[in-house]
Amino acid sequence: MARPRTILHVDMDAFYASVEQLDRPECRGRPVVVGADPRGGRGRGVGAACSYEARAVGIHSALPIGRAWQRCPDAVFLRPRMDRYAEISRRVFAVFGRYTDRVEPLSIDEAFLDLTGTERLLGPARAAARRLKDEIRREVGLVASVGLAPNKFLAKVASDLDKPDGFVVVRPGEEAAFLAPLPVRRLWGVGPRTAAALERLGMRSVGDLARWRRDDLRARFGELGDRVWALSRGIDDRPVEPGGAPRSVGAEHTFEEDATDPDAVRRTLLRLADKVAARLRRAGRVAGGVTLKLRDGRFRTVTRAARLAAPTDVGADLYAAALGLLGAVPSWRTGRPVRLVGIAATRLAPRTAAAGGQLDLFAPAPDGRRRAVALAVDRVHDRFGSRALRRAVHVADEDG
Amino acid sequence: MRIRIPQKTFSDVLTRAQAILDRKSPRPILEHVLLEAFEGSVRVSTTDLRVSLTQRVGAEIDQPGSVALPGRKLHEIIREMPKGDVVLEMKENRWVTLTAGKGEFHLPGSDPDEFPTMPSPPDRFLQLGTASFRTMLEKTLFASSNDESRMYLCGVYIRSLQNDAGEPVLRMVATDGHRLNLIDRPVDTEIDIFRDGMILPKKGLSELRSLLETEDDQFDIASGDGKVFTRFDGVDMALTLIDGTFPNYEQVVPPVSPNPLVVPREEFIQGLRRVSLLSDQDTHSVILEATGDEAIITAMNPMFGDAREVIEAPHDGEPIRIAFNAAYFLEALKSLDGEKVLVSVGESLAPCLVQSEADPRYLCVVMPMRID
Repeated sequence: MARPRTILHVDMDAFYASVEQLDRPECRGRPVVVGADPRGGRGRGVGAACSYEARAVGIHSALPIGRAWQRCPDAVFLRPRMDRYAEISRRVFAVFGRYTDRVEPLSIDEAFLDLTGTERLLGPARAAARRLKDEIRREVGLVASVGLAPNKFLAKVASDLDKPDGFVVVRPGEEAAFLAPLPVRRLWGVGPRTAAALERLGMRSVGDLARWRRDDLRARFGELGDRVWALSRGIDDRPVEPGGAPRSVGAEHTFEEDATDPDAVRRTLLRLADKVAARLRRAGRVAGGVTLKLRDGRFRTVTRAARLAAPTDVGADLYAAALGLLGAVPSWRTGRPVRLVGIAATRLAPRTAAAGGQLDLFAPAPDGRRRAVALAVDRVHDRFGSRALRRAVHVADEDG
Repeated sequence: MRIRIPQKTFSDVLTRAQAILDRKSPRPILEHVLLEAFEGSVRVSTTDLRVSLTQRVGAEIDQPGSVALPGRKLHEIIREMPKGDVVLEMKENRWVTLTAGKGEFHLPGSDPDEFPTMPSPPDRFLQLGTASFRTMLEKTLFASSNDESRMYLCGVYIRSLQNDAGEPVLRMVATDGHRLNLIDRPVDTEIDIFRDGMILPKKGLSELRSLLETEDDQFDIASGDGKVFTRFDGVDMALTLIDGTFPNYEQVVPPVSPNPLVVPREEFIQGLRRVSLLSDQDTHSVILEATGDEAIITAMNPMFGDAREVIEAPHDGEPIRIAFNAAYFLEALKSLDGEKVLVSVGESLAPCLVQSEADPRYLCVVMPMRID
């Protein structure tokens, strides 16, 4: 069992509009709408952001700007100044950086912070979160809503619960009780249609849903059922992923005619693995896992995933792992024609972090000659294009 | 179909069957057990297509017949039933009623014809010694991998060969790429079916190992059609060989050092257990250092603190300093017998050999970790 985490979700209140009110004291306390030109009620764009004063008179961010103008001609209508918002955002994120380097930006004004294990350094998480919120107000002059919880999902729900100027803490053990009274729409992945379907089964609140058995939810809603079951109990083990880096890098290929030649499928898989590996090298990342995707002629798709013994950014390693997975796919074993094959590199990590750790008995020493070859190939491709140098097995393939 | 069977017998059979069941199969029938009632006995079959298990047990058969039932549920129900006889009766539409004491349960059955055909064993079996085979499995199975991207590591490699002294031995090797266990045991003559070497799946072998916990001296084994068949005490098993080439394990087994580190096994285990409490939670990395008469195990964890323990261990060679996963080392030490273990360490990043003074034919190889 993993130790409990301490995750903070920070969301700036009415960010664009607040920055404008900060820069233009005359706008403070007035409805401010940042967005398209209202053109005297005839404007066709929408408002990108509205101050809380604007929200009080029924203007919201998705409202056509012309309608907003009709509802409140006295509001201050401003065009967005993205450079200025980015500058303020950097100052807000600089405050985050004083607390932890595990910051996952969600957008210009919103981020997850992983404060797990910072107690010795920063003191109790609750006090640290309060301090962070105060520092943003004092140093940047803006108000943030903050949610502190054992995981990302709860932290986000918490920060949203008491907006603006919110500060909501969910302590470990209180997850289910915290969620129970909330409407099911709060659950990530539950849109209006799912909410309606849930309500027909008598589930209005998260608490209603939490009383259902996992198997029954899965039987009715498939994978989504599994997910909402977990979320309704406040279970969410997604890590905070700093840098907003991609979770996976993948490539796939659909055959013009369903492929019946296993060698052709393998060749294509190798080409895709090389392509994915080149993208990893370019991004300075290594893969700790591989996912294989195979769709047969009858549109049945299977995916298989595996962890790699040693993180890699070399195509041959990804290919070897994918080939191993391929052998475990029943439709492949029975020789069914293949419509689509794909490969994705997963569990990505910065290359430097992968150094050190467990060595493998059989894997060639990391950073061996194969990687040097791959880097040389990258350089050739950069200069002369990707068709200038190919594996011999791909020369005969049309789309190689 | 109507049978009467003692609860304990049925429960034991289903516990074993349950270990083979596919847990998340795209084919629901593979989550079923097939029950076939004949004159005087019931045959209970399960398969995940790689490993198939058929058990025959005595029962009172009021009416023969067959049905496939959801395996996990059936097991859970029978396990909880009171001691005494269970009556299983198939009603309309393959609904099955289970009665014991005052309880009555209904389970929907499936068409037995949907159940995959169980592989049929060859005519000729040969006999192997139970105790030795079980010991070999116990000392290797835990080192095999669960990583399906390297299927060829997800089992035990079994081969019959002549050792360096020209004696026929049966050899088992298992590795997950980070550690490797190799054991040789003498046999009277080379065993034909293992002459070319084969990889057998972990799941089936684990089951075989528990079946071999018995008083009987011998069990039957045969091979054919890409499978190995075992027959034992009313239980037939078929294991599909794992496709693929087992890695060249011989080249990664280091030679025994001329001056290995000699460590008291039990103390080493206790020390490692304690020190590893403060090892990094992800890597379980601990450092082993040895000079003169002492071996020192240390662990460091920036969040939780550090630990150090000294063990008396005579050592004549070069000073040693390596890092390794404490869990791999502990498992190896626990599987060894005897009071003293010999640890042969080569270069800092080369594989490390651990063996018992008492048994030179059982080798544990542990790949170290990098020291930053």
